[in-house]
Amino acid sequence: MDQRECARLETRDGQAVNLLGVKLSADVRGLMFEASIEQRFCNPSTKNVEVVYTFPLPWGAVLLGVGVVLGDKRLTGAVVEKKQAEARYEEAISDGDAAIMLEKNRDHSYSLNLGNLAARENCTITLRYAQTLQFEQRGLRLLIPTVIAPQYGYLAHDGGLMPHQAPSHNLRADHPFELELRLHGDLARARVASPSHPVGVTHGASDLGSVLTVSLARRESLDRDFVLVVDQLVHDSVAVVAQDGVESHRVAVLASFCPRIPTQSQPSTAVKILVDCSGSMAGDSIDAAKRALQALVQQLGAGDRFSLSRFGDSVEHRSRGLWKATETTKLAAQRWVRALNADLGGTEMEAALASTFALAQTVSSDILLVTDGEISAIDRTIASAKGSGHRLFVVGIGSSPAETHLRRLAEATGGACDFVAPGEAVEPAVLRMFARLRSPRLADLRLEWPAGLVREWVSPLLPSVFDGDTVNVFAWLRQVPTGVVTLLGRCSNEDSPQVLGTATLPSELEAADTLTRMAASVYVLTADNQLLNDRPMEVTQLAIGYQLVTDKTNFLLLHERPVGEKATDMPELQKVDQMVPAGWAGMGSVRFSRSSTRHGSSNVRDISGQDTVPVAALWRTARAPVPATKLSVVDDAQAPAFLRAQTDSFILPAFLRKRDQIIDHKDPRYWAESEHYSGLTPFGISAWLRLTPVPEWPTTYMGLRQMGVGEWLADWLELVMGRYQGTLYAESKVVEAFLYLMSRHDTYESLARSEGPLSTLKSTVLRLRGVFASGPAVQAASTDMALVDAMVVALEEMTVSAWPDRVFSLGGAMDEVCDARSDSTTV
Amino acid sequence: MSTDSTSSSPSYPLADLCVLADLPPRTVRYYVQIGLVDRPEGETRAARYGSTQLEQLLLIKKWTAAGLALDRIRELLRGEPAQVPPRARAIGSVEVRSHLMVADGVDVVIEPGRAGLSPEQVRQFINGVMAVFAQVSGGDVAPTDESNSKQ
Repeated sequence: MDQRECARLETRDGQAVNLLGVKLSADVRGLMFEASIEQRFCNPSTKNVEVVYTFPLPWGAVLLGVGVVLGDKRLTGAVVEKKQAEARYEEAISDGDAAIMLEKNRDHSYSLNLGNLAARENCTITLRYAQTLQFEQRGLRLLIPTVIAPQYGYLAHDGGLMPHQAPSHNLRADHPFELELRLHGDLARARVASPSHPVGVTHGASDLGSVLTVSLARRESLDRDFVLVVDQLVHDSVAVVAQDGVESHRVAVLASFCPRIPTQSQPSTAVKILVDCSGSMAGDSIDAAKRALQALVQQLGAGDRFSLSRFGDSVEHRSRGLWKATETTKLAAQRWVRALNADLGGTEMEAALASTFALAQTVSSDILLVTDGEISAIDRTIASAKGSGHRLFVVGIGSSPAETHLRRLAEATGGACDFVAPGEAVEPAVLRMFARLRSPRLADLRLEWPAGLVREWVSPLLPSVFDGDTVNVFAWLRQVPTGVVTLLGRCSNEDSPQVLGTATLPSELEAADTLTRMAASVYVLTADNQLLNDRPMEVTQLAIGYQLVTDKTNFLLLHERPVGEKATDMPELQKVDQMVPAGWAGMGSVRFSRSSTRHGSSNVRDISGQDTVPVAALWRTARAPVPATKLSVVDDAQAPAFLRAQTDSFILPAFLRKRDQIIDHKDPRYWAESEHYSGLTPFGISAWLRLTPVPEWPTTYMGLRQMGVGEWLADWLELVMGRYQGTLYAESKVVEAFLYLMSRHDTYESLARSEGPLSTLKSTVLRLRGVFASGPAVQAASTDMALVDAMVVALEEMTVSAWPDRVFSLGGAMDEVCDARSDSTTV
Repeated sequence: MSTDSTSSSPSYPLADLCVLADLPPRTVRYYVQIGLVDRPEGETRAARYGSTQLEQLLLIKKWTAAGLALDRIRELLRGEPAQVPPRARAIGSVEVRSHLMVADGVDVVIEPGRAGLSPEQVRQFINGVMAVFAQVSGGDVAPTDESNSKQ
């Protein structure tokens, strides 16, 4: 437990109140989303405190202003260089004055520090930010993060956060959240719905046109991201120009393209599917992931290739290479998806990605990652993903996925990112993903500007351009431009560049400085990314000039207290605890937070086709485990897969347990334990059968699994051998034939003998064939010899400790055999 | 570990301590605030830190670099023994647990021996749990005041 919790004023249920509530109000106009967040703090204690609140802002949001009301005084601060801001903040604290500092953290979250908040003092912080809208295939998905979910790993260590910036979590925290969104102009006529919150929608009109106002239908808390889906939009390429307020000779331009990429008829795709099965995915998230995956598997068609892998502490591959999408492999995939559980512990994403990159390296393929992204070591992961040559397409799952992490990961690799909230229909996101997966990789992306235009700087184009997904380009020009900007690109298989989008430059200049400051912020970010750090001071100066809170600059406000009111001791620390996101790691289910009473008007609409019903306010208390309220992500030692399989499923009969002990699971000749296959090896099965009297042999696939035959091998028997050459064989026949083959003395002998070099293996098979050809004398009465023969052929390349690739490819040809086999054969 | 250590030990202002420990002032102050490092003598600008604090900082630095969480470091600094998982109960030992089913899907398992609860307390606890469950689950169910009141 935590020491610092012992002395502070608490509510009746033992909780310090420091964040009274958050209110967000935003306007969506044209290309721009502009919001203002009001955070109300108070110090309920009789001591002098320092409140620290770490919070997320949406991806690409640019912080435009910070307003402070301390007590009843309205104060203003300024953006200054980071080191200087930190030093001055510390100085003010030790002088007993009030100091307010807002810093941007390494993981792109923000930390607000309210130093020396006096006893019973209130403070209201108003943050203004803006972001450009990203349209996706005629739609818009506004995502406003409200909470940072617990992340795997140590933020201070892996995430590069200072210890005070790392968010803490408390199950009993409850911060009220209010929201009002106003959609202007064309957007006011669109169809809207919120899969995350019940909302009320009203149509109105202002002097500037119609307005659609979206507000929360009931009291909400900061425990899940707010999502608004805007549908049926007509979006086209446009450009906006504004005079720069800082450098008067400069004109800032935002060109927003809606690319139209001609697609060939259903090009095939090769995709490696990687699913996060770490503990944080438990509950709602894994359910959503499974729904998404089932939809994904259905999208796979002839000519497509895919692999399936899941990860947590370790990674498990369903196949050794890429499968062709056939009825059999799709069936196996659906079965695999159904059995998915969030039972793999931690989130070692970097290692899992590396292992997945290594599959079937000869084929150009993409990765489809399904995760909540709650990891600390994101920078390392992005760096290694970038070098792999795979595009990463990410489906972010859960009520508060780490949006910034996932977008950075996708963007850095030229992929794309989509999100699915619990209770939201997964199909639209999956369809969008597949449209992107099938879209060609574009080469030679470039912009064509009007002739003679002097460009001071243009933001770099990302390699990820997909049909219907917005591409935003910022630029600084020397004069007010006229004409059109064109986005050009070349599909990899064509020679001539094609026009992907054309934006007409307007003749009127925007009045507000939002655009110019956003352009400056993109400049600072790209300067960081491209390591243009030969002039770091210049970038910092620019950030200060445009008053932007960046990696190198902080917002700082110092308020000198009158002599008698100065703090006389070090302020007590009060970190604002994050709420635990709804449905996180199986903490209750968002599904059950739908109550039966309707609060919303008929205006509440939901494109998922499900009713969006108000959320019961009490559910959070209902599921909170009582005493342990401090959370930390613990990386439990995981039991090996085979142990789990045994304890989880059912109690084994005594004779099986006994046999299990005889077969030494540590001996690689008997038992394989790799990311590709866990279970008995050929020699292991052979030995098991020699030890076990025939009446105790299994007769079903389930029995085989209980015996220790790996899942994949049992699946192969059922899905491939069970319907060999169009004939449907009974389960007992297949099992019998398999066991008959494995139990043969010759099989055992040749496996036992071939323990050494690989060269002797071929003879094993030849001998086996010879035996089966040599007459019916040796065969058991009921055994189907045609099936046995088929198995002999299929298992031709079987070795002591490894099953042949055919077993794992499920009849579909494999593109490449992975390293695992060669490892395990050289025992 | 207490602050009333030997008066002869060196005393540094915060800035000097940070240079010696090679840590940012904010981080040092944070460790003091959360009780990992002893409070200085004197307050605000007059605060002075001694060798105890420097030692503590260097240990924290070493352990965080090794990937330990701050909560764990707190235990180590206090000199608490490395946590040993509770010993598995011997085969054949008997443990009695009350298994209270609050509703389908909601169970409360109580082992009063280990929890150190008297039967009265267990009853009180169970009453409370049932009442709270009724309160949160049944929107239309009658108010739970009656079930709350004890005889």
